[in-house]
Amino acid sequence: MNPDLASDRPRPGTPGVPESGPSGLPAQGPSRAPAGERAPDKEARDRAAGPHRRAQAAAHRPGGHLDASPRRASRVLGALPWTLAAAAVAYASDWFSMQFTLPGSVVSLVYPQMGLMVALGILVGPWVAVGAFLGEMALWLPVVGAPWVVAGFALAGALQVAVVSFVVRRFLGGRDALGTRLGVVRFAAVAGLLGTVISATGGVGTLHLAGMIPGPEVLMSWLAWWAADVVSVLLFTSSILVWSRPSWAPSAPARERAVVAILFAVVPLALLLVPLPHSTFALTLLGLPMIVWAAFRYGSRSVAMLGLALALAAFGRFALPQNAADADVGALLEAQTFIALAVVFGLTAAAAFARERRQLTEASALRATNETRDRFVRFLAHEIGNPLTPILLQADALRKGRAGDLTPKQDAMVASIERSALRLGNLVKDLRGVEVLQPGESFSIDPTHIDLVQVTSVVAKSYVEEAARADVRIELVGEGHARTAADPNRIAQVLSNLVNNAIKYSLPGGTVRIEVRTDGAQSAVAVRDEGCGLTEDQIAHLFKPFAKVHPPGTQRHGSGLGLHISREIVEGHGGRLECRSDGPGRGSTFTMVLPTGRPARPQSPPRTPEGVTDVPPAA
Amino acid sequence: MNPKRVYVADDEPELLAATLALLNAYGYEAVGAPDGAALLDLVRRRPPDVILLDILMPGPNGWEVQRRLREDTSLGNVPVIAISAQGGKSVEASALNTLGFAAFLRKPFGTEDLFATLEGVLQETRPRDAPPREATTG
Repeated sequence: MNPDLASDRPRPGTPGVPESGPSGLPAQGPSRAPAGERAPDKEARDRAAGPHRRAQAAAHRPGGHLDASPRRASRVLGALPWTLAAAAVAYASDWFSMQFTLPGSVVSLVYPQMGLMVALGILVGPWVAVGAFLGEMALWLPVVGAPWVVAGFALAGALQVAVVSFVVRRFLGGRDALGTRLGVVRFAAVAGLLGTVISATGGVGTLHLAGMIPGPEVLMSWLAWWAADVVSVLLFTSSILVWSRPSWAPSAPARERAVVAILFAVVPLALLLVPLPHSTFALTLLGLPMIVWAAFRYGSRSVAMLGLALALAAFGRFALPQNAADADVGALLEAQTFIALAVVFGLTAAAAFARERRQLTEASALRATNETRDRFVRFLAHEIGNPLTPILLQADALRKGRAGDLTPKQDAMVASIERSALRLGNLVKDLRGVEVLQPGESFSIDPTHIDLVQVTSVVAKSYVEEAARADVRIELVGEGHARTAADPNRIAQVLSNLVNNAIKYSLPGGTVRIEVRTDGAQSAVAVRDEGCGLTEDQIAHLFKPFAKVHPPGTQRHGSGLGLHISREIVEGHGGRLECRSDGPGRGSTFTMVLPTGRPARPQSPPRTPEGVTDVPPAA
Repeated sequence: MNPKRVYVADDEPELLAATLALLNAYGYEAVGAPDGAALLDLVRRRPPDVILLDILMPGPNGWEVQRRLREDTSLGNVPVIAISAQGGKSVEASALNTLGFAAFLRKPFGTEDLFATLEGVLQETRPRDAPPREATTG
């Protein structure tokens, strides 16, 4: 059969996590013949071929290419059982892989061993390469005979296991390497395509030097070997990694799972059994839609499983006696490569989709958290606000002497109670602002957009009376609309806080000027007072929780939380809250800037209102 | 002039008692109702000059009570002051503009808040000498 191609290449192959029992594939003698002779007789082939492949396994013991070698004797001893276990795994999987040789062919088609050892190296540590080397030596030495030849390709294979697993652990995220889209692509490129060069080069080189692969066949042998490892890593390592980490688990009902499992089994079965000559590759194509479906509906694990099932079926088809005539190595390699690519594609899609799901889940969890918090705050405001009222009223009644005259000492004590209750009341006012009892109208233009001009104007109007009592004038500048992506209640809370502060710190006869501006990408509300102003130092502390910034000669009004909460709200909207002051006695300006959400939206024309809408202080 | 009649509806007994005591001490004629239904009863029997209505109550809440008061034209236009421990400025604005509350009093309130609000509302309303039923309302 095909001389070249067939020649030395171990082929990658099938499915199933390697260790999992030998699916009784009609296997044949081990591997493929080495290059040299074209398969004169089976024995020769066996020896020759075997080796290459095996080579991959793992060698490495010597020079410690890896961090593997334990430094101290005790550590060596401690590591010994594990190394032997790894060697046993390598030996078993190597033997198992050997069974997948096409009938009547010299090619070893399925070579799960490299993929398994690389996965093990990634999960456990690159030191398993030592075990891989020992296992490979043990298996092939009796077959091939020449110790240095076996050592050559076993070393190359072990080196590959060590290097690839080290690189994946160190740079590609280890077992999580396939968790993201970029991760899948990187893994396929670095571990799949690049890393697998080592074993092919070392193995084919050794066999060539030993005279087992003649010069003209070196290139094809190398390609075949390399391709086998690529496919092995892409199919087997990926599958094991995907199964080793928790994955986004679809919550499909059991019945649906059963139906899907049957459907997904149909294609591999068809691939295995439908008697179309030369149709393997075409039938494999049927797997593509299923992989896509699996990727989006059932996640990475199902993609990996489907890929293995397809590969197994493709191999099985070639292995069936009636298809022996079709057992064309090129066709099989084509099918395997296609399946490996489909799996990489499917894993990428699954990672992307899982990410989206995760973000959605996180977003809704965040919303739920926010709602819980809001509910709690409302509850708190209510529960504190209610009992505080009688405290305030009764304290006042006592001080007014409605229960008899108080001694000065009693009066001072009641006054202290009253002051404390007032402070608590201010705290409640700061915490409040989240709306529960929506009596009707809301400010939303749509669920996510509000008109900042409208919200500002409502807030400003609600303070007219309070301002009038303080002999302060409120002036509102801004007309038209300023569409903004924001929560109207939260923004109203912030504006209330700013306007309230501005009124409190204004001098009688002063003006609080509220201006709404928008330029399309951002909207801003500036609240300017002509009050006592702030120093740089005060501004620096203003937004800290429980800030005690208050101008000399004024009472501390709030709980010290208002501006802090306001800034949190604004920053939560992706905006900023700033304070500017020309210095003590010269007033201050608080500016809330919010992104409009959709900058390029033509229908929310930036309007810089010049018109002045005065809200006259109510009498 | 007769003392002003004030009905107070609140499900917090302490708050209700304190408010009533205060109002009575200052010469109002204050009557309390523990919930919205009781308040509606009182109002139907004898309309007051002003109502202090808690929003968050069991049974018909403040919004609902206010709606029924407004629907019942025979009651005339008794001014209603909402009292609530919750709700930000926008709820307040809606209450005033849409639901026809005369004022919004936030808990916790002190004596001064209470009287300022109450007097403000009473002054805006015409002195009630006529029986409320035929109040042509102003």
